This record gives sequence, C-alpha cells and structure tokens, in this order.
Amino acid sequence: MSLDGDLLSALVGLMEEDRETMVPTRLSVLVYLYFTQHATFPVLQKKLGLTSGNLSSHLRKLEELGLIRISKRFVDLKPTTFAVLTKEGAERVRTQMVRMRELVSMVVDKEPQSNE
Amino acid sequence: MSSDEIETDEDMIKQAKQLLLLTDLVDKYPQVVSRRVAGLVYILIGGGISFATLILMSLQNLIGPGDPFLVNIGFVIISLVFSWVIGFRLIVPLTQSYPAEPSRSEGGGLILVLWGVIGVAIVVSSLVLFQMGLHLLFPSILQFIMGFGFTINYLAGRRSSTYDFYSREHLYFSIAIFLSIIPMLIFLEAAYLILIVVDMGGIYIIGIFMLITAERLLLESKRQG
Repeated sequence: MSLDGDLLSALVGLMEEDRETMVPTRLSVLVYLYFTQHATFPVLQKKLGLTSGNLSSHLRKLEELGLIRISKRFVDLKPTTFAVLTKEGAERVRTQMVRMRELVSMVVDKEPQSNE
Repeated sequence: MSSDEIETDEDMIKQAKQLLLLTDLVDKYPQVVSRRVAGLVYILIGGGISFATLILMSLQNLIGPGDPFLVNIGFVIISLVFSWVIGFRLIVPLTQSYPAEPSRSEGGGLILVLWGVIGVAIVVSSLVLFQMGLHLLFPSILQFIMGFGFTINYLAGRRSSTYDFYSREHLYFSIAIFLSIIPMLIFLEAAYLILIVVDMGGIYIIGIFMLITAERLLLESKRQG
C-alpha cells in the first residue's frame, strides 16, 4: 500500500475508535481550546472558518461529552458565549494526539524501509 | 514507483511531519504551562516576601525594633501567607485544565503535608531557640528547614510519572541553601543577610530560569517537527 493509503487507514482506524471527538471540526475546536484554554464564540468561528450553526452544534455536543464548558457573559454590554476546555477535555486531546503521533510515526518510519 | 507517486508520497510525508509537530506540541504543552506558572509563582513569591520585608522594616522604623521573636514570626507568617495566596490561590488555578501538578497519589498530598509540617517546625524552633537565648542560630535552622523542604519537594515530584513540576532546579536550589548554612554559622551576625541573599536570589533565579526554559521546551518541540 502507498504512504497516503497507510496514513489514511491509520487515521481512519483512530477515528473509528473515538467517533465523538475525532471528527475534524470537533478536534480542531478542542485543539484550539487546548492552547488557549478559553475562547469566545466569534473568535472560534473566525479562527476555524465555521458557520455559526455548525460551530454551535459541535460546541453543544462537546459540552454534552463534558469536554468543554459553555457560559454566557456580557462583554462591552453585549452577551458573549465563552467556551472553556475542561480538565477531561484537555486529557482527551492529549491522549488522542499522542495516539495519533504513534500511528503517524509508525507509518512514516516504515516508509523509508519499504522504499529500500 | 512513478515520479508522480514519489511526489505524492513526499507531500504526504511533509503533511505527516506537520501533524507530528502538532501532536508533539500538544504533548509538551502541559509541561510548558507548568514551567511558566511555576516561574511566575516563584517570582511573585519573591515579590511577596520582599514586600513583607519592606512592611516589617517600615513598621520597625515607626514603632521601634520590637521583640526579635515576634518580628521573626511576623516575617515568616506574612511571607507564607503572601506566598500561599499569590502562588497557590491566584496563579495555579488559572491553569486547571492542564494536569500540570502531581496528583495526591503522585506526591502532591505529601508536599501539602510537608509544608504544613515545615510551618510548624519554623514556629516551634524559633520559640525554643529564642527562649534558650540562641536567637543567632535561628536563621541557620530556618535555612536548614527550607533546604529540607525543597529537597523533599524535588523527591516527591520525582514520583510524578507524567509531569516535571518539581524539576531539577529545586535540587540545585536546596544544595545552594544547605551550602549557605556554612558561612551563616561562621558569620553569625551576617546570617540574616546571607539567608536573604541566597533564598531571595535563588527564588528569583529559579523563577526566571523556569520562564526561559518553558519557551525553550516549545522551541525544542518545534525543531523536532
């Protein structure tokens, strides 16, 4: 199998293991929050290039899973939605990314051997 | 393998390496946050103790030198309260999402008990030494207790399997504290001066060093990618 095929099957395997968070949009929300800890709805929408309907449905799902906390606060007299990563969310991101690293490293390391 | 396939594979390797960089950053980030927070905590604790010293000295100027025992106890209590409030109640909770501190099972509980015992040991030893008229020995004993505390911090931190919160700097700092006891015992009159220079200097240096090395960790991670 070619490298892209190997990588794809490794990543698909990982996505099948965790169908709830290994969805590209949810994972990008979680990874963004992992580095910033919290973000407002408009910032997330702008940074990740998502529509408001799409983002709010993913945020709701992540909140149901206990991976983020959503709160509303007034900023400059305007109601603003905040998303905050929970400890469980941070642990889930880290676990999945470490797992992803293992899989990708395995495929990338295997490739030079198969070329030889 | 055709040249098109080789080109596609090279692109995939490039993208896979970018993914590896991201995963590595995610893996290292709690350590980076932990070092940033620890550095900030140390600098603020140093500031808190300096502020406590300033208040006590100003008070002594205003209402006279006072009882040396009460002055020492006041200094220790104000410093501990400042350190506790600033470090562990204001700064550390800001990073609660990251499991950056060792849990109770990994030595975190032991450290809490340790600093409780250290606080009591400082008060009891000062009480005993001042009653026996050996108040000149108090800074050396205080220094020994602090050195012991930092050594246990380091050893308990080693039990933490995942994160390096109480890192090697704590060991170097405790060695410096123990070594400073020698000149403190030789020059008893200058003991407080040596204590302040070594402990305060050490706290500031550890704080700054941790902040610098936090950024270095991120850079190392980027280079690996």
